Amino acid sequence: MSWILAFLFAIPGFAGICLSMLKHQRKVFGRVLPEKQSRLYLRLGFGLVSASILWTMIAYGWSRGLVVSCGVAMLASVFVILLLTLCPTMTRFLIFLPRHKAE
Amino acid sequence: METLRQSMSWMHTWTGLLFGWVLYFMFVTGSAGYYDAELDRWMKPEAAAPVEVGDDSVELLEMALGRAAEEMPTATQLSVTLPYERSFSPQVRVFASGENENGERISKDLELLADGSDAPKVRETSGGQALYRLHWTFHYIPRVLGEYLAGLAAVFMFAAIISGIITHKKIFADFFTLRLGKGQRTWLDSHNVISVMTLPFQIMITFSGILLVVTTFFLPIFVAQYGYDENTTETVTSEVFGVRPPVERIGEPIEPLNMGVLTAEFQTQFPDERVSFIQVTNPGDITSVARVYGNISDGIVRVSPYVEFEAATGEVLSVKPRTVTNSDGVINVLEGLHEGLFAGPILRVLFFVSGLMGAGMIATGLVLWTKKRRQKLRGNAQAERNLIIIERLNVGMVAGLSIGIAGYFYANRLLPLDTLGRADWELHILFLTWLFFILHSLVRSPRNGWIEQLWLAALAFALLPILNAITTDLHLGNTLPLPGRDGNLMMAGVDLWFLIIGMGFAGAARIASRKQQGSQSKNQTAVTSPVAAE
Repeated sequence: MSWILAFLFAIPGFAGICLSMLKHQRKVFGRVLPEKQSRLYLRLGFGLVSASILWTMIAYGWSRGLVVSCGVAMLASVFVILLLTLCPTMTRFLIFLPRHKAE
Repeated sequence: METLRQSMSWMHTWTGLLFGWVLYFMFVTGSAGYYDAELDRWMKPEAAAPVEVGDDSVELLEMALGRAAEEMPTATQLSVTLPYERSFSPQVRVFASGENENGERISKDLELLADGSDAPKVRETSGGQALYRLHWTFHYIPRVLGEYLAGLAAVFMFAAIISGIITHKKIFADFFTLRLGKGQRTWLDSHNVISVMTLPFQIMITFSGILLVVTTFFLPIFVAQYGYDENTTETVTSEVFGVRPPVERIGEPIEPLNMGVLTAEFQTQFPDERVSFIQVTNPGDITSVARVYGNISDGIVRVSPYVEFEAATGEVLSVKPRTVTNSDGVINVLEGLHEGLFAGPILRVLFFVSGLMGAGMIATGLVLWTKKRRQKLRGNAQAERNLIIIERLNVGMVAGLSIGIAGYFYANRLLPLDTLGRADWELHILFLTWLFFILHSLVRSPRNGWIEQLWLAALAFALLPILNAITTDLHLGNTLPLPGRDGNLMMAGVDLWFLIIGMGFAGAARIASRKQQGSQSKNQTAVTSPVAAE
């Protein structure tokens, strides 16, 4: 069941990457976030996705882990895409960051 | 001058389109292959309960070898396969081959229960195996031609994937963008989202697919090197793949094989492997060689590790581990990934879903092409007529195939058990049903065609568990594991998948119906509005 933990890392990871993009910020927050916060979302997002991949490799070995991490990434991205499409404002709850004042 | 991106866009469109229908067929039937063993069991409902292999594997092997020797004392080749979780046969399988007094090749295939008795006869069926093999044999064409076609389609698919990645300017930004109800934009988004989401899988499955048929493409090289006569295959398999060439029997008898010693030696060599398969050449003769194999599905490297023994003395002749040490090993890993034999239940679901998403990627690409083309060809009546034919054929090729596959399962349950060539007829029904719906799509408008065929596919799959309940005892009421009951997860899983696929088609049909209602009400408003009337 180690893949569940990887999955739980990947979901906020992808959400973070999405929220660093202008077009998704407009959709989710109704405005463009300050650059500093966007960058933070991006770093956090990639960090969590990397942690998810690393965890599967530790848990399953590098070869099987790589396969599992592709599957986990796919599942997590389906989740994030559906949320962004059907209920975009909810995406912000997948990953919390302190608000920054507009630059 | 064209930029790289523009030329890649052209390549992406045409490489994808040219083999689009073939690739769609390959992806759908190939995805079904991830559940070949499960479908095999579903299609043989009268099969006895699977033999459980525990600590008694040595007894099972000795029993099976004894039976094989009784059935065919003159056999030159014997093999015994023990059943594991997803073995092709749930029973102990024995295969013996040799020659009769007239020098003709004969063989015997037995399925045995744990006590050595014959397993009950099951219905004649093509099973999940035939459905899976369709994705590279295409059934009605010679096998070599099928492999050439599959290989060529895979090469085109690979070119389409690479050119698609280069074409896509904002691949990661668009990854999470799916705009629903926006016509062509929605088709493009769906195509992009599905493609990028499963990109590692699509690259892996296509590249490994090419490698799987690569020896077929290299046949002329083998022929140039080894000549072409009746011994070519033997020489090539011996020199290239290390298969020991057959040795004539001398006629000097030896003691029966001591499976306990052989399996113990195998476990010493490979403590983490399970004995799964035994192969004996020239059994009972001084020239006899025995190989004890591990289970091919127990690792990501698609290799059955083995220990080879001289049967008379028990001396170890050679050992092949499951390792990646050379280019052959790399191919074995990629082939292992392609077939997914090593995958557990959850990973298997992901393989299956990724395969279906590949089919979805191709289907959305095909629809997208017709939509874009329609805009370009506006005013060109002849070209538009041709496009309408392609649009209609898309319906039959995509939705019709699913109904055909459902027809395959209906045939398994409804064809009389004594039908001559029953197994072949199951496949004929698949293709006849598909052909019928291709013809149906040609006489209906694309919109009506999509709605009718998608609803029918939904109904066909959703009713399969009910048909199963009417015709067998292995229905969801008996097979679902419940507290205090083990059930039969393999059979229940197939029925549940049928329901999920049926629901998926129903969802697609509803979306298509809504779109039609929307466009009809728009047309009505346009006709009745005074502005439009003017």
